[in-house]
Amino acid sequence: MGIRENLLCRRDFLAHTGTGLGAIALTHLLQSKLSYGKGSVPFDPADPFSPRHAHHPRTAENVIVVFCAGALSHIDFWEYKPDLVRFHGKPLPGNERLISFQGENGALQQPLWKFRARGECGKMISDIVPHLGGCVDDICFLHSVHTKSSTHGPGENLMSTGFNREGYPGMGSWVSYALGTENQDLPAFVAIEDPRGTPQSGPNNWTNGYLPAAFQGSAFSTTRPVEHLQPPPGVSSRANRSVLRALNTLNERHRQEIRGDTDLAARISSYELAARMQLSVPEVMRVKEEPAHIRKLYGADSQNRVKADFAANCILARRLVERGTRFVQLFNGAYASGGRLNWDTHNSMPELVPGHAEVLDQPVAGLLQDLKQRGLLETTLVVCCTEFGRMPMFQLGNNGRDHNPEGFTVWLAGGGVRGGMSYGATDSFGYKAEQNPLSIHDVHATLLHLLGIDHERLTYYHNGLQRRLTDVHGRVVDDVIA
Amino acid sequence: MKWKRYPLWIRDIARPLAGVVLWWCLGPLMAQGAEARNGDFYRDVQSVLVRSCIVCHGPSKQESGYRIDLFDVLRGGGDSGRRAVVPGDPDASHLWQRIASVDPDHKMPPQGTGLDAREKSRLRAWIAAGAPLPVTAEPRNPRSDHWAFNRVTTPAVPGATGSPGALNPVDAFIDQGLRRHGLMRTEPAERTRLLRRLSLVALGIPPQPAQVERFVVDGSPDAYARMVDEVLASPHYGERWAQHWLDCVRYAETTGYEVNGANGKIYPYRDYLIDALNGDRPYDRMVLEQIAGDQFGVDAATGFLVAGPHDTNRSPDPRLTAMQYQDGLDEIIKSTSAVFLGITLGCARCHDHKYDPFTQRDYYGLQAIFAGISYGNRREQGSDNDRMVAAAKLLKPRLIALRKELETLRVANGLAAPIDFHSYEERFPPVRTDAVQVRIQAANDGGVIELDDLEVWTAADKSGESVNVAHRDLGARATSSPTAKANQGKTAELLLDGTRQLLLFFRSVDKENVWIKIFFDRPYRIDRLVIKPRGSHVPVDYRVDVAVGDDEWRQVIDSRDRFIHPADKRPAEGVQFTGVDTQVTRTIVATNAEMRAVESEYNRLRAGPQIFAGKFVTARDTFLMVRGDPLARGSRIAPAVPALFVGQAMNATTPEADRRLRLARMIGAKENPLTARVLVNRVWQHNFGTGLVDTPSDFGINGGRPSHPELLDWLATRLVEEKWSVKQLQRRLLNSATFRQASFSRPQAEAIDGDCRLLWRFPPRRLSAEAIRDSLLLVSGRLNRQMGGASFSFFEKSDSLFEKKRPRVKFGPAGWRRMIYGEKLRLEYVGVFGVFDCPDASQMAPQRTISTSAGQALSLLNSPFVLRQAQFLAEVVEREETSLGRRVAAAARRALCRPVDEGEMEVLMAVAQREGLTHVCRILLNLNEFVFLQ
Repeated sequence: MGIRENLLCRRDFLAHTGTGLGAIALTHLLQSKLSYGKGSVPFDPADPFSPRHAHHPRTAENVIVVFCAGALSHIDFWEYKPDLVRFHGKPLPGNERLISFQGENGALQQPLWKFRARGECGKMISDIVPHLGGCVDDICFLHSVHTKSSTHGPGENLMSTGFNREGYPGMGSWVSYALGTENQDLPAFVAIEDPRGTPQSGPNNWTNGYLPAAFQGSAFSTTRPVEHLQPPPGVSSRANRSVLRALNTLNERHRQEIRGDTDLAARISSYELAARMQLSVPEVMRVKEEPAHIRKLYGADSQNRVKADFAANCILARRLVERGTRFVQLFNGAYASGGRLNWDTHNSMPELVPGHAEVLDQPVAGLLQDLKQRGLLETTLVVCCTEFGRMPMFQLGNNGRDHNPEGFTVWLAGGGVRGGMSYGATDSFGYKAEQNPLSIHDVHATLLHLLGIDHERLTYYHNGLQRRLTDVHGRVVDDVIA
Repeated sequence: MKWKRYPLWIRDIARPLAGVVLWWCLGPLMAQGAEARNGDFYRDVQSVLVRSCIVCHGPSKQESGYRIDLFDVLRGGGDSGRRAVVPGDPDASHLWQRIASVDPDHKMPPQGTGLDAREKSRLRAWIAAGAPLPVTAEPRNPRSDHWAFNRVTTPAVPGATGSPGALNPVDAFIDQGLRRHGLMRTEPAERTRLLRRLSLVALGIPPQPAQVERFVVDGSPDAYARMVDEVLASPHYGERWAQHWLDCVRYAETTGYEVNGANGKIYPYRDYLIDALNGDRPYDRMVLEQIAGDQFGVDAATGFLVAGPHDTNRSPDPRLTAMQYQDGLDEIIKSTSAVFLGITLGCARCHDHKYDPFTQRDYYGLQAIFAGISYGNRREQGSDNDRMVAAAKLLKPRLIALRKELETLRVANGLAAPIDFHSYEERFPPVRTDAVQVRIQAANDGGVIELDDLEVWTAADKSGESVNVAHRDLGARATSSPTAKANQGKTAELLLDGTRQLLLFFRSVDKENVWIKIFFDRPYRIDRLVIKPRGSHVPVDYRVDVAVGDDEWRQVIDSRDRFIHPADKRPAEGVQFTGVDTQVTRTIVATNAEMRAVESEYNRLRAGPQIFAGKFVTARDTFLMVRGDPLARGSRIAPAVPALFVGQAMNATTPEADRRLRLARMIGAKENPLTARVLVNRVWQHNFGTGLVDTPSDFGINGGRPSHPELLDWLATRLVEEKWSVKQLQRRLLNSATFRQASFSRPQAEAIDGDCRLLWRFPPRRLSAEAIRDSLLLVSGRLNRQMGGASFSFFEKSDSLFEKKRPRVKFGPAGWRRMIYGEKLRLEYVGVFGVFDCPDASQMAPQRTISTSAGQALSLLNSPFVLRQAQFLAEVVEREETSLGRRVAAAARRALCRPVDEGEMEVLMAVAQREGLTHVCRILLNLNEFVFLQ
């Protein structure tokens, strides 16, 4: 059965409601309270995703966050530390017996791959990411980020929600709450999980927390379709159309009988959106129909199944943003698995990391290039982050690096950020953020700023406080803004 | 009780304390700017004086005419006529003289240790600096006269208000509020709608058609009141109301955080709540039981304390470990203060509360009360326990007999004793060698071999010193048969690190013929080997060799010379002992197996029923953590209730159990201004959708103001008078004309009071996820009403802890129990219904958000679960009725509790004729009317 047959398109839907639902919703909106909840953003519950004004002019319209789950090693990838080569095999000065997450650490370990200067800016970058190395002129590296937790779950929570504990709204929830979205047929906030599985903190990365559930991220990917999008097996499209029409007629009668209510109107329009999503979501998911040269650019044609699937997810991210989805969180890496399925390489780094790098490198570089050639990079902020860094030493008696919350790299591209620059630095061994240290809150404040949002004014009341993504912290890093 | 010694409830001071509280509010905010000294006053002076002096020198009591809450008196002094504060001259200041005095008849405060040195020096410095006051503070700012911290008043019920049909005092208060805004209540709701509302509000499921019919024809004046009694007597009442309580305490059956593994058995707490609510247990008693139920034979109730998340991911990182300890107690502090008292004490963890009069000391005082609680299992006292302990006693002789039998077998066969399980040490005559080899033939369970460490010790020298030479620091190396790479390279090298590490250990690929060779940097004279097994796979069949030349080995240990290892679970065929024939070996293995079975049963019985309700141990010392930093220890803090309240005194030696008991008594005291108000408000919210205070767990200065303060107090007073009976309170609310009015909207009223806080109608709202699912099941005829006990699961069983949970699609009768009996996994949303704003138990959810999303529509429309229930509903009416028309009507009656009208019938019949009855049922289960409470 064809998809088009399978659903009720919007015109059909409205034609059967007698008065035209859209019109009712609009008049009602004008008549009744506009605000909902106790936050700083007034919105209509019947239409929670309508585009909203920002606090100030914005350079970024959309965001794609590439989240490298499991903690990617900044010193083997992004931040060049010549002293690490020089002092290879010696203990870390001043921290000779450092106890970190898994215990004792051994000697300093030089980067596992060679660094070389790339791009016009001459940025030193590791050979492990040759494709991304070609993009350095568009990238702004923040080398001095530090975090509060050395465990994956809390670390991911902090990066995604601003709090290391659970139950706080994710960045995407905050942004869609603040700005709504440009395409009413698609979710405003999409979380794309890695083909290998769910990240360590799972749905807490894209939770709405205490914000209304409408702002929860919708989790789907090329390998994991939207739940309940199509009618259950055995239900014909004709039956489904009849059901939707009758349902709408009866709901409308009921609404008029009890003389109107925004919540009832909201629920009627949610069935409308559901019907539209039955069309729009399969359309956006048709990644396979992209031209061959585009698929090749991302590496979606790779023989490496994981890489090909992740590349398809990168294409999906672009297609979503292109169609107006506000915020995409794209995961690279799954849950704790001894470094097999994500970046958590306490051991066997020389063997495990190249496999992960292959999955990450070309698809994300392809995403940057594709956005750029379509002119989307100007208004799309791409953030590449991870929950924390890794130690400059190998763990004692082991060939892997332990967790390092003291310093690591997050990079930004597009959306009004200055390309070809590096901001801040860790100490000469890559251990601690030293020059212009940045908290996660600073990163969040900057991200919101680029979207036209003042992080101190975006609030929602919960359990005694007007809460913010940035808690009571955060500083916009002006130097990185073009 | 100590109440009498303090004639005032501290918060009676609130009005005169105005200025003080205002400083509290503004202090930290102003500290940043030009008014930095206000912050100093707040921190250095006001908090100290309030804590130490205000009971006797405050608004309700002014010993010697002195009070510290009014600026002029604070500085001017009391009856003595001496100036309390001489700006710039501490020694001339009477306040300072009394505080600094060591004379027991003169010093202030007269009892206790008084101010500590740091506090004194700050106070002195303040006076020396001219005793500046916060310039912006206005002593009489009404904002600081915070109602919630004042004693509950006993307002008179307003007289006739003109609104017709007032039924009880609740209506009088509501009508008064409406009249002030020129509004009136709506007409009474139509009877069937009212019954549906009553049933959904109180029970979370709609009434059955027969019940509706009975009620509709019952013309007696008390028909509704009797229906309220019937509903409150239903066992489903406790299930509905307990769900709200579980939301408040963020109850879940898993730990949360990244591991999110199963807690122990915590569902008895859920069942306790349901039972207590159904039995109308007095609320003050429920407070006592949830905090200190172990002292009253109600062990399950203290599940309250450990219902929140806790991190089980252990690490040697000292900062992380300290943070986890603090976080674990923080959850308990937050629940207790928010759920019972409606205060946000959690905000005072890192600094004094920014809005409310709670200091960081208050926070850590409460932490000290809870410092002996750990997240773990405890024996549940009671008849089950008595039975198990008695059975264990009966079993013990059999266990002893089996052990004797084994020992006899060992001696008779000339075998050495089994290796000591704890030391796992093999000794042999001293030998000089540069390498050792261990050959392992089998683990006790036939599985792979896992070892944390291997140690080889030198024979003691003259001074008695012995060294582990199998250590990489001494240059030892190791090789082995193949090891697992699957999870972090479990190589032999890890045996030489001298420590046990979380994830770093040796794991073989093979289950037999495993070998490990350890080469020393040079020859040593050695005489023993220590095996450090990991977990429960212990090696039971192995040889140890020492090198005597190039790849030439001499055996020094053979485990077969020893008697059977108690944990050896291998079948007899695989087991061999030196010089023992197969027949006897069989006997040994069989006897050993029986002993193990009896021993494990004995241990199980002896432990009694174990529930996850908190483990209580001696409290650790508590310290104020500077800025909340888990490693920045400030001063030592004794257990205490927050200074806002008056409770029985405690100190560092107060036993753990007493600490909790005293806290519970303080909370449940009838003088407490918050406990009754907070509970009344929760019940109000439960019935009307929004509380009289719309921030149900925050009654502080930053929380909402009550829409009807007199009504809140009147209800709180009645609650206490009526022995804290929650059902009596429910009865009063449910019988009110306010509850019984229709839910129609009126544009004029909407314009004046859009949020309907004044209750000019019964505010309609969408049902909760639980009520929708339970209602679906009731209507389809499949609801399984079995109460209590272990939970059913919403998810498929997964192989790994970290794998994504897959929602279960198909349920049977066990999964058709009410949703409160579904296993609550923290951080997971259940399939189909999770999207209906079901909290994920990561945060307290005293009030659910109500949102509307396309995901909800897709779930109800397209999920196989709802389709199946629609089919069941169709089957029910097919059985009951003969014609299609009657079947459609019957299905609608079951779903909506009312007959459908002609227009509706026409729409439904068209679908029925064209698509079949099941699709009519799908429509009914998706209707706004079905999922709304109106």
